[in-house]
Amino acid sequence: MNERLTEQKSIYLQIGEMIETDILRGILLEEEQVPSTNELAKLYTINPATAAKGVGLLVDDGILYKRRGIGMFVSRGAREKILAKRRASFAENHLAPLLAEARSLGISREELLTMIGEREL
Amino acid sequence: MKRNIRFWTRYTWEGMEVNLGMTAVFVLLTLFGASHLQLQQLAATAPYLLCVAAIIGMLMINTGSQTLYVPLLLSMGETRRNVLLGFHYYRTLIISVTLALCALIWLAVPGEASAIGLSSIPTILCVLIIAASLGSIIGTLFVKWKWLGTVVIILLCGGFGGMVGMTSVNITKGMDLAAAVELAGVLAALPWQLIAAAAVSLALDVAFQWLLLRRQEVKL
Amino acid sequence: MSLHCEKIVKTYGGKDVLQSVTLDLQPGKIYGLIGRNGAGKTTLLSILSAQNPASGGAVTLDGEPVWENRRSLSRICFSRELNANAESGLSAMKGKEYLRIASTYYEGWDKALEERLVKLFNLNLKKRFAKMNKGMLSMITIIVALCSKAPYTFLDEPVAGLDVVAREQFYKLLLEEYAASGRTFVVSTHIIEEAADVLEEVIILHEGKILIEADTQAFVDSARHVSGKAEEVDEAVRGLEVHYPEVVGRSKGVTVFLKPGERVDESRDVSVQPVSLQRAFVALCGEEERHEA
Repeated sequence: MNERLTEQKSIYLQIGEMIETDILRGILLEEEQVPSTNELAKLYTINPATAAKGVGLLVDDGILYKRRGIGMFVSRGAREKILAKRRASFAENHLAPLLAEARSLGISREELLTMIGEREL
Repeated sequence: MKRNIRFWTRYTWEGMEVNLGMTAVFVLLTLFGASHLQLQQLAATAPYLLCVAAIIGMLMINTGSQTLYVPLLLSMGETRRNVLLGFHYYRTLIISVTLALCALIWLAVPGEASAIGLSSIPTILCVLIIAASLGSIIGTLFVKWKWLGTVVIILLCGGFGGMVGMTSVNITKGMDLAAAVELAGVLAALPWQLIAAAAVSLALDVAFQWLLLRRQEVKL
Repeated sequence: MSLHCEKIVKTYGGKDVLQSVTLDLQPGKIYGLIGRNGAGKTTLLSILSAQNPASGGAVTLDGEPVWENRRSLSRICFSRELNANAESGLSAMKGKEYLRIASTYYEGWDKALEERLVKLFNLNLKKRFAKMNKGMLSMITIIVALCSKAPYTFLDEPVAGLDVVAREQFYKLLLEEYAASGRTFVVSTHIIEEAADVLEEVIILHEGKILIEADTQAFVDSARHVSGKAEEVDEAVRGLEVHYPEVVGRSKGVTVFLKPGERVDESRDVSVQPVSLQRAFVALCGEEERHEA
């Protein structure tokens, strides 16, 4: 929750990702309440509507759910959902730029695979 | 209007501190038994000094209020109409408090001077209204057309200077007591001209202020 | 339910400071009024709060005129930027007196908040305005705005005199008050960067006209910086709204504003980067200046 915002991406997306990362890291546990929109707004010095939009994304994805009159909570199974989502977008978000850079440097497919093979995961 | 009254009452109270102080000194003198003669002298001068203080005070506030308080109150969401009303409430307050203090002193010290004073209260009222209105018109002119205001002030100063000069000449010649008593008598009888002059100057003043206030821009 | 102005015109000595400005301020939002010095920000706020008369047009609050209307005026607070120069009648005024007058005139004045803020800002209210620095005067502007509790509150350059730390502090206080009360705030500023994330809506005023009135995030998201070889860039942004071209040798950079459905042709060999509100603003309002140069 205490990462800094950058200019590279819409703020509401960053808010959503930060909450997701906190869930993955076990900073926020399942069935636990997440900070309110106003708390997030004050922490990041952003408009509450923007914070609400970020939280809304996670509600749409079923990662958070709303308890009427109390606030937002982490859904059961949220961790699994986030993992699945990030795996699904891994190729697009991380492989595509890697391949584009390799192409412009003239690194061949074989060279690239060798490089990956030499590394430990 | 409620907050207007609160503001101006407080403002008057602070502006009147000197006058109230003078009255307090007078009351102390009475309490500690100054001689009758001294009290008489005080009754013949102190109230008039209070009036002069009120006039000076009102003249000062006129330019001050035009350049500071009017825009300030407008900037705090007061209507132009209420700003005008509040200002006149303030002036009425000063005049009535001054007259009340005068009356108090005269009532406390019976005697010839006090009798004249008490009977001339309506005259003093008219004079105060005229002075306040003229001052306010000058203030308005000064804010709106600086050069015109300056010309009027110079003319008035010249006029006052001439009067003071004349008076001092008269004094050195030996005061023409009879003429002074006559003048006082005429003034005390409150000729209609005086009332008319008060009414006209007040009306002119309100008209002038409204003309200025109606389109005034807030600059602070 | 809104503060609305319709075709506001303001002319000073033959020069149009505002040219037919129409604006609708909805309750419960934080608006940013941004524009260069002299764009007409203060004039617009003065007219919206009936402190200055307009040369044409009308301002209404929930359908009622604002001019000379106590009911409307009592719901609006325009906390002006304070100057303490010699011509200002205010220069001899003490901070304490100013706040006392404000507390008399704003019906909902929050005395407890006033005391808290004075302590927080470490303000010496016994000082006259002439002896205060710009930061202190900004703090007074902020205190009046927040404590007035007016449903529509305008702040004119509240952060101009504040250092970075105090600016952050101000925006946090603003968000706190906003969260607690849901009041509408309009913050005029030319220091845009830190303000960008706080403002829900942005109004860009340029030479007396409203260029943009939009959701801040949507507006920022619609802007892209496209750079690369000049021909590639020109191809990639063909048909788009292009601003602020900068050319160095064969290289070119432009800022584009995408309408819904539009996109930069990324099959071209160009870099497409997001743009901050400040850069987007410069791209829109800084153009004439560069043509001069």
